[in-house]
Order: sequence, then C-alpha cells, then structure tokens
Amino acid sequence: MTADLTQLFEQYYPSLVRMLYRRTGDQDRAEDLAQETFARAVAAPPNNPRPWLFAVALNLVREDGRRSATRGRRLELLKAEQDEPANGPDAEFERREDSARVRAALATLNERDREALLLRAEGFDYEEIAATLGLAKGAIGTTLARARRRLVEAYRTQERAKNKERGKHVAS
Amino acid sequence: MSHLDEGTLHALLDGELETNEVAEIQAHLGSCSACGLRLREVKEFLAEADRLIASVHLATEQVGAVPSPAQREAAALEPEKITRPEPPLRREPPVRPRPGPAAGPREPWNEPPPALLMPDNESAADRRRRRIARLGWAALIGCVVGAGFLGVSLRPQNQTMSVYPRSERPQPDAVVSPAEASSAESLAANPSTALARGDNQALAKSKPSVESQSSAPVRAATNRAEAEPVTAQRPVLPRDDSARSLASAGANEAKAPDEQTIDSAAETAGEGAAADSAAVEDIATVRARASEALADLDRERRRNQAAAATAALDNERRRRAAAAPTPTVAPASAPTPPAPPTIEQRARIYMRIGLDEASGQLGGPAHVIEGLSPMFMGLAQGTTVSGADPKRPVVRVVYQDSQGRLIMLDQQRLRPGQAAAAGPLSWQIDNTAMWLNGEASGEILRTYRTRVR
Repeated sequence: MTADLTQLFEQYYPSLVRMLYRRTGDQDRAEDLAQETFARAVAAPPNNPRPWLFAVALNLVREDGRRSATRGRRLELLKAEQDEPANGPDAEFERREDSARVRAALATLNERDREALLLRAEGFDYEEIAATLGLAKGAIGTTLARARRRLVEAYRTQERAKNKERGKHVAS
Repeated sequence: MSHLDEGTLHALLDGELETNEVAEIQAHLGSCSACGLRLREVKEFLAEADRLIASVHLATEQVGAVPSPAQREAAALEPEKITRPEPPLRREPPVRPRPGPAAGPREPWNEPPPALLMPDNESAADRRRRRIARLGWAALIGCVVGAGFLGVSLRPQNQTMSVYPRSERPQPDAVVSPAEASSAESLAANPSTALARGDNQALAKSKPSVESQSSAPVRAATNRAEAEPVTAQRPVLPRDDSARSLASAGANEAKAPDEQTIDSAAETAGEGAAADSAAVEDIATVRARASEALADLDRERRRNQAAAATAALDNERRRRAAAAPTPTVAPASAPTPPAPPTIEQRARIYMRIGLDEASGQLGGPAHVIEGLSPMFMGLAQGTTVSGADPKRPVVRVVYQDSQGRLIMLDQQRLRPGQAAAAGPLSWQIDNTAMWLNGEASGEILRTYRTRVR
C-alpha cells in the first residue's frame, strides 16, 4: 500500500466502518466490507477518494445484501451487539435495546433515504451525498427531510409499542 | 415569498444554503409564523434523527464523529447566525457532474446505484409464508428423527450392531450336512461348540452341528432334571433359551464376545429363576424336555438326511456307471474288411516323383500318352515289369481312364548296348525302354501305345 493509500485508510476507515455498521448492523460484516472497499482502492486508486470509497462500500453492501437475500438471510439490523458491557449491565441493556430499535427504524426506510441519512451522519455535504448516490443536489434536502421524519416516526412508534408492552407486563 | 418547504428548512439547518438564500429565508421566517413553527418542528426531527443515528455506534468507538445535534439546535434557534457548519473532514467538491446523457465518462462512484432486491420490509404474508415453510421443515425433520427412533426401538435385541469385525462375529445358526458335520474342518472351525457342550465325546465324534449346539447344552440341563417323556415339542428353540442353557452348562470360555454377554445375563437370570420358585423350575424342566425332544428330532432328521444323501450318492454312482462307455473287445474271429488299396498300391509304386526326378532317371524328358492327363509319376521296382532291368527302378506314369482303370506307362533308361524286348506292349524309343501296363485289357492298352509321345 502506498503512502497515499495508507493515509486514506487512516483517514476514512473508521468512518467507513461506522457507516457500514449502521447500514448492516453487523460489525464483522462492516469491517469485511470496508477492507474489501480499500482493497479495490488499492487496485484502482480513485481521484476523489471520499465519495468513491463510500459509493463502493454502499455498492458492496447492496451486493452482499442481495446474496444474503438469495441465501434466505435477512438484514440483521436487529442483531444484538456482542460487546461487553462497559457502563453496567442495566445501562448496557438499555443501550442495546435502544440501538436495536434505531436499527429497526432505519430498516423501515427505503434504500436511498437510509444511505443519504448515513452519509450525512458521516459528515457528507449535499454535493457529496448527491455524487455518491447519483442524485441531484437539490433533491438531497427533501430526501434527508423525508428520511429523518420517517426515522423519528418509526422510532417513536416502536417506543409506544414498547411502553404499551411494559404496561401490560406491569398490569399483569 | 411562498412558504418554505421541508427540504429547504433541512438544507437551512444543515448549512447547505448560500448566504443570499439564508437572508431571504430569514426575512420570510420573520414574517411567517407558520414557517417558524415548521422550522421548530424540523429542528426537533433533525435533532432527534441525529441523536438516534449517533446512538448506533461501534462498541470500540467514541460517539462524536457526527455533527453534534446540540450545535445544530443552538444554531437553529438563532436563524440570523446560521453559518455553514465546519465539516469533520476536508470537503472536496466532486469534479464530475451528475451522471446523465451529457455527463462525462462514468466512474464507479458516480454510477447510479443498482436496484436493491433485498426485501427489507417484509409483508405479513411473506412472514406467514416463511413461518409455514419453517414449520414444514421442522415437521419433516421431526418425522425423520421419530422414524429413526422407532426403527431403533423396534429392532430385535440380538440384531444390534456388533463392534467386532466381521471375521470375529459369531456365525449364525445354520443347518449343516452330515458330511460337513463329520469333517474335521468343521470341527476345527467351531471348536467353541464342542467346548461349550462340555462333552469330550463331541470332539471325538466330531459332530459339531450348529443345531446340536443348542441341543447339547439342553442335554446338560436335562441331566440335572429328571428324564421325563417328551410331551411337547417346539419346532424352533428361541435363541435366548439356548443361550440360557449354554450358561447353565457353564461353558463360556471359547464363545464369541456377544454370546458371552448374552450368556452372562442369561446365567444370572437362570440361577435366580432356579432358586426362586418351583414354577420357574417347572418351566425350565418343560423347556429341557422340549429341547430334548428337539434334539431327538434333529438326530432323526440328520439320520434321514444322511440316508437320503447316501442313497442319492449310490444312485449317482450307478447312473455314472451306467452312463460310462463299456470297452468292447473285438472278437478275434471276426474278419476285418481290408482297407481298400490306395492308388499308389494299385499302381505298385514305392515313391512318387516329379518331372525333374523322372528326367534325371531317364536321362531326358519322360514320355506321355497323348490325350490323357497323368495322375502322378512314381518309381516302381524293376522286378515288377517283365523285361526291365530288375536292379534299377522303373519310371511309371499312371493314368486313369474314364472307367477308373489304371493305365501305366513304364519307362527305363537303357544301358549302352542293351536293347529292349520288342512286343505288342513293349518297345523302345531312342535309349528308353517303354512298357504299357494297367487294369485295362491288352486291346485297349495297344490303342494307347500309338498315342505315346
């Protein structure tokens, strides 16, 4: 790996893995896809690395998801994390539950909204999001607005369902 | 200015608008309370969405790489101070326009994303269908496992899989012929039988019939019980009964391992039964009598089989003897018809020769009868031709006329000064004496003389 690619790796790898983890819900899978992305960057160094890396990573996610769907595997957004609790078992349990609900809410979005939201969360501006996803810059605001609203509404729906279920348990 | 749409408000809060656009929006928000309320709502959604996404982070990383929602909220509360937030990473505007008909060469990063075929949102029907399919597979697996357990439970105990190799497995019971039973090989192959019987005479008599394996221990058991007349017979003695009798005979040393296992269990059961109650003893006695009867039946059957085999052997010998050809001696008085004489014997030649040999004998080419095809040429003794030198052979050319009669033209080379006897059937050509002989009449032979060349 050349010095430029090493710098690219150090600069974008954590962000890429984070975005892929939010997209897939599987840390190992996210790391594998990020490494595959950089392997392709080694084979064909990009001119504009940041949009290129994330676009390739999202394409790999789609291909991987397609293969997983073929094998009957579903997007594991609800998969529980396997890391050790750091803030105590209760706090860790709450964090995992909240993370699972967020991933479930993300899963309710369509592909374009979800990717635009994740890219924005990684600091992409509208032009970069448009370039990465192949959209018009003027449509990014509307896309993000729709994605944010749907995400929050889906999350709130799950919160209400959770509270309702807890109420049933308390009543019983 | 019309009301602000939600996308514009998000772009405003994201700092994606130009300065003049921000100024226009600020002016509108100052005069439009509805858009102000909507802006607050958008701020709330944006902050909540950022918080939710930031809550999904890797276990090993620290949250904060994303733009802080608090910063955005503080900025949104003061629209006049909206500034473009500092990006966490260096921004480099893409140099390529959006892909389209007039766009430049496509790069991997600006290609339109392919259609996603992965079903993210499953419908209720899909979930139900998938659940039914899973239940179907579970039912199928359950049926297979249940059938396997059922098969294992219904399997006879004595058919359990043996851990011993094939060569060490005990041979199954089989009826052997008397010849096999009496052979030494059979005894050597089944030494355990004789030992199990505890009968030295078994080894001496060499009768280790497999069926007698079950009957012999029964006899041993019978020796303990009273000898009573047989009242019941069973056609087949169960294997465990036989094993139990073997155990009571106390001979386990040379048995196969699984037989030993059966015998040890049977021994325990047999001893307990004999000591516990008389009823069990009666059962054992009945079984012993039945076994004795079965042994008698076996002996009778073997005798019948041996007799049948012997009879069949005698019949076979007689049949073979009858089928064998008896050597016939020809009577000395019966005259044998003499073999017909060969053509050489009829021509009285002792050796066939060719033209070259004939020319060598005669000192020149042999003479022939014109119009006839010679059968062969040969040498005859000179004594057979009157007037010929008896010490030298005569070259004889043999013909056969249309009636099968032999015509022989004899030739002999004359020595210097020697002259052939002249006659109707003898003459001389140059220095060769010629004779005509044969089975035809003299008249016919004379006609042939004129044709000799």
